Amino acid sequence: MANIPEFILKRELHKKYLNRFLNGGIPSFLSNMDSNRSVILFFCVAGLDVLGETEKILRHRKEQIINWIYKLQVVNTEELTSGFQGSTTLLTKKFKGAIGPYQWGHIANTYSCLLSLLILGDNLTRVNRKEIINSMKSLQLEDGSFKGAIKGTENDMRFVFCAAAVSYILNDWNGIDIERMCNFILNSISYDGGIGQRPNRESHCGSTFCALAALALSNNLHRLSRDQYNNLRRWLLNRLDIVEGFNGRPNKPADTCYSFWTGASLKILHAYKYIKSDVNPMFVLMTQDKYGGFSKWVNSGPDPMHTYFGLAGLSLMKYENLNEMYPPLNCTKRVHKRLKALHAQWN
Amino acid sequence: MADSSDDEVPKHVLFKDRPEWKDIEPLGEYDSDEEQPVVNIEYSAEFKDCYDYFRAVAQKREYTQRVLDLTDTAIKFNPANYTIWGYRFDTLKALEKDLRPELEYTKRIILKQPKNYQVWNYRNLIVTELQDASNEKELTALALAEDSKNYHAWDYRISILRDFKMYDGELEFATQMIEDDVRNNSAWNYRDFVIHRTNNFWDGVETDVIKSEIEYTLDKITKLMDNESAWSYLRGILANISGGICGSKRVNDFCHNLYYNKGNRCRFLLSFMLDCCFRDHEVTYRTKEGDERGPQLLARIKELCLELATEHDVTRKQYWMHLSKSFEKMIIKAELERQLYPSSEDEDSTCSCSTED
Repeated sequence: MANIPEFILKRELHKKYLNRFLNGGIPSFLSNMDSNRSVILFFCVAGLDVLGETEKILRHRKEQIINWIYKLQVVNTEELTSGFQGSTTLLTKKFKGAIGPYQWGHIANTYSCLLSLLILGDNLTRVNRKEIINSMKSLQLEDGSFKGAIKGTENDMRFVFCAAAVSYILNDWNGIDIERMCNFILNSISYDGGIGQRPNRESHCGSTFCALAALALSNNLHRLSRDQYNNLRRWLLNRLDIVEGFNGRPNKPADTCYSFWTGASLKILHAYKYIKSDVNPMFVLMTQDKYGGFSKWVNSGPDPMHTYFGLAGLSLMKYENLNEMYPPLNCTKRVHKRLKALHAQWN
Repeated sequence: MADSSDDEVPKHVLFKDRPEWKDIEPLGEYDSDEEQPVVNIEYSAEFKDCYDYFRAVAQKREYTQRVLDLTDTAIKFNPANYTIWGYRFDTLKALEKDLRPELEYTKRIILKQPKNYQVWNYRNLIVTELQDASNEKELTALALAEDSKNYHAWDYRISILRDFKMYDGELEFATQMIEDDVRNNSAWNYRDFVIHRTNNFWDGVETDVIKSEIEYTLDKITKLMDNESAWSYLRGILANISGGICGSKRVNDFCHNLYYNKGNRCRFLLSFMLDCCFRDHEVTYRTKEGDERGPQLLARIKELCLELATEHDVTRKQYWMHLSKSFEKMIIKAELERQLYPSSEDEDSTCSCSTED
């Protein structure tokens, strides 16, 4: 029984799986997720959003989650560490969560928190937009890349994307030296046409998505030369194996999450249409776990990250009744529309 | 079963039961004041105890030997917490400790968790402080022996090479890794990095190094035709010579022979030849030669696209058909321009991103 794969989307099971992480207890052996609980939260609510289930979260419960997210916000005008923390690990009961030493915003967590707030219907009224943008300046390095936090993190394309996405969400680009950011991205284009995590690194669909999304969100796709643009399309299209699905690098096996990273990159470059009729949801559907959630590969154990990206990837394939995606921001069109309405209000 | 918690963390004494921590008031986590928690992890008693003490020392920025031990435990429980790594580093610096033991410490963790961003980043910090990268090649080689495509390990090795100018023997390392797995795209990328860092390519000259890299790659392609990594590397090398992708007679003959004499129709061969035609047209269409070559090249391009679309790369059928059409449009447009403005300068060719749509 267990070996017969079922090729239908198990919507109810995925909803349960994501709700279990969101509301139930996460077992202690996953304590290594402790410092990134806001990212787990994002995968849960974003996955539910693709499934069209966020409306069903009770208003009272939404408020609880929103309040928890706001507890992670740091406003520090002196050290320029404003943003959102990854979790409550450093918040103390004794000081009622007051921000103390080593409590810094991290750009990936700021991104996850802001999108989660939008998904849950919050209007970002309690977000200190000005200070977050101001602090972002301290994260950009000479080469144009971004580090995650003021101290102790690496710098690469992931955080370039996060910085661009946060600027887009807050509708304020004053925190980024865009010229330098674009140069970093262009310098990271590899000889094979794809884009690596930084210059001279192997092309990778994760970093390629981050780079292209940052260009798209900042209205800079035109910085790609004709050859760069065409080579990127070719390299990305080559990531599809009709039997296996999307991989993230040449000669690597397919993996559920690349149905989004690669698919969304192709969407940004208007090239998804060339493979639309050939993209097969089978591989992604095969990575569903029998108790809900998606895995990286068939039979390899689900996690919230692959569950969200599996759903988002299926949505790009226009698989039955999933909310449509807005690829550059990695969210649904529903959320993007909400955001645009907020921008209109802010102006 | 009753002792399962002892089994999980052998001999672990809670910090609250350690005499040297008696003076510290542990600080509980201010997680959620809601009745229903959010993405709640059911921490073990040991985890909670350790982080209660970490919160307490972080509040007062204590940098002592006992804090080093505490960070060691905190890292064991969650090696992905960048704050703990940063705190450990600050403590070592404040105590003016020898950083050398950290090399062994991080090596142990890296080999257990070779895809952990934080530990690689911390290792980089230590090595930079010590200004000694003599162990790094060995460490990355060990990590790559476990997973020859580990992005972190390659990324780190490239950083080390660049920062410490340690290029000696690295072409051989790339050769060995490619020998082990000719499909290893990471190793090909590394080869490209090393070749470009250790040679000067100027004025589009086909140097001996370029010639030997071409031979090397053609040999690998001959042994395994359907290998995107090798074909991409070939393109990368050819980008250094004038004429680019179709600038090497050796390569042109190689492809010609494969296609016409051996009847090979590998999709990477076809797309390579296709791009050669395109490049050829770009270079020659404003010359006298272009008069005749235009229609010839167009016919060839259409033929190759059709072969790809209908037989040898049907997954991307619509893409190849689209390319065929857009090349055709472009060539017709170019012909028109050539006839209308025979003497005008080449216009900027970097702007037509949207022409394909």
